Amino acid sequence: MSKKNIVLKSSNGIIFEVEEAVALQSETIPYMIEDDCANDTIPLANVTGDILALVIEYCKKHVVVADGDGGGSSSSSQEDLKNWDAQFMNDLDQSKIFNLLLAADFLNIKTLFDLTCQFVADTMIKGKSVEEVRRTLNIEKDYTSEEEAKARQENEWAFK
Amino acid sequence: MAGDGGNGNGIGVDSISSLPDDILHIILSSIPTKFAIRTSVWSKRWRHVWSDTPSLSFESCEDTTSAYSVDETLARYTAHKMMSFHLYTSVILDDVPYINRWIELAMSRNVERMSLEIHVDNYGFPDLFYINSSVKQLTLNYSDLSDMMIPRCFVSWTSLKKLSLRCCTISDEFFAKILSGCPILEGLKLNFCHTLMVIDLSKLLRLRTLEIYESNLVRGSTQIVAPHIHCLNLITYAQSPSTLVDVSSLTAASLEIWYRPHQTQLKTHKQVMVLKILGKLQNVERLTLGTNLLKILSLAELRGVLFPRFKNIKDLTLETVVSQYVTPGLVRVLHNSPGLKTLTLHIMDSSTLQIINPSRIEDKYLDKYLDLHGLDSNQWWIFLDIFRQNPESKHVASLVELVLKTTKALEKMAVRWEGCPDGRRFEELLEMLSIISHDNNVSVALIDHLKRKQRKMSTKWDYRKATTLYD
Repeated sequence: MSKKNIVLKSSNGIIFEVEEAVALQSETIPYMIEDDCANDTIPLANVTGDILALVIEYCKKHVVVADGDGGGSSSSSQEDLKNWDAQFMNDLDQSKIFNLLLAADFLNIKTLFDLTCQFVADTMIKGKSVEEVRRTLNIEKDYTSEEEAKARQENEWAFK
Repeated sequence: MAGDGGNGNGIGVDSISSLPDDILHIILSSIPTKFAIRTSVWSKRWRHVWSDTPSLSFESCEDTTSAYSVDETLARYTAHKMMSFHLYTSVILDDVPYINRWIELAMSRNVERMSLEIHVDNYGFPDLFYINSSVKQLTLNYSDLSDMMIPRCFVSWTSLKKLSLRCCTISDEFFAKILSGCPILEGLKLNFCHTLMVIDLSKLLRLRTLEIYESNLVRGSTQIVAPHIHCLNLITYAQSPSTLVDVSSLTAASLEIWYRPHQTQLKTHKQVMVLKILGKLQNVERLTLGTNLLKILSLAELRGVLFPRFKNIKDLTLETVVSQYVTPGLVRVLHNSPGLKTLTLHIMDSSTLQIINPSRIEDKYLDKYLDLHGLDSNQWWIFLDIFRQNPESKHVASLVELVLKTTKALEKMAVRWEGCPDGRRFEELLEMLSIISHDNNVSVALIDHLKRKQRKMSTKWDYRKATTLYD
């Protein structure tokens, strides 16, 4: 059984060889294959090795389940994937999460992009106080107290 | 994303503020708009980010949020194109003009997905709501769509592909009027719309999927005319099962029967109606059957009633408990599915079943029915020793064996043990299934949902496989 492999190179020169089906979850990579010679490695100038490793881990997980279980039991494997996704995101620190989000955007992997966006929204934004968000996300307060009060007053109902 | 060498946790780096606006809008779209708006006080960068978010979601049922202030906020909303608008509200009658204005706003921004749940007595949608060419997906919950509310204008939802009505009071006449305005509808969900008696979808040439969950308030047998659908998902009530008048293009179906709590009588003519539904599914390739349905089929089988044959069926899913009350029906369905290739068994225990489906048949009523009709069931009861609330691995395994004995052409089988109480029973079953699988020459897989949930995800990318090269 010979499967076609694709070689990806991260911005810091780390080489990853993956099965074609794994790499093709990215909608950007096919264009890069067409542009380059078939045997060449595909350079990903925007993605560092540690992030690319995460992207590949995600893609591998999602490709295996997609052709492993077949049509009939798709609902169950969907649920298992969801649990896996949640755990996958929970294990990452903040800097990795944002870099992963950008990589998913650049590589155009829709499910991973949606997953990271939802994770950011749910865990870093939703239900957090302003002070908490500024502290955890390192956002510098550049409002004067009056400006901040005005911004808050404008949509006061949203803060209740 | 330059400069991140590895394991730093971003001390001092404000990554989120440097994301491009279009990504921020997607992030903010996935939470209630209230939280998106709160970002405006984070810093100057964030002052107006929310106001271009393509999705708005309001859930206000508390009195503290006045419609007037939401309305003021929306005056500052600037997105030209909206992807989704969700509104759940229970305001007072005086606030109805605001609600109508928000719906109008969403429609003026060419919204594509709209979901509305408005709890205001006698609320009727404004006429302009019924004429729209941008909405592709519409969900209405608890809406009053009775005869009194029929709009004077035509309904024209020319882009609508998916329509979902949940707990709506809708008259047959209003329903027909709505459908006449949805020329490209592909999917329709009707959940708990008990007033609907005639569901005539014969003019919807592009309709492919239909989902109906009946309400226990339904007054009679609903007539379903759906000659173009390919996929049907039906839960009907035992007191008055639906009538499938025409589902002649069907290739996939899922069927279950619900019971009213305390419905003590299992009437024979209701069984006949259920069998008639099943008869209409004869040509499907994929079929899913629920526990109650299998029990009803068991009664019919014990009475010696003739069953439909599923001559095209390839893929069958049975959502069932391990119980003697399902086996006769289950065996008959398998006998009548000669070409079956793949089978999925979802084993539920009674307690999980009660959560997802409170409307189950109690076994004592089945016994009563059998007694009443003088039926001898003992030859079928292969699980007599089971305490049914809590089957052991060997009971699940013997069900699997029974299935394999009954099927001829089966290639693959998947077992999912929803209510598996502990890891021990899971491991035991795994071992038993591997022997059964080997003996019967059929691939039997046990879906490992329990283990995956508990397993700590430690399988990081294997760095040994990655070779480091330097330019």
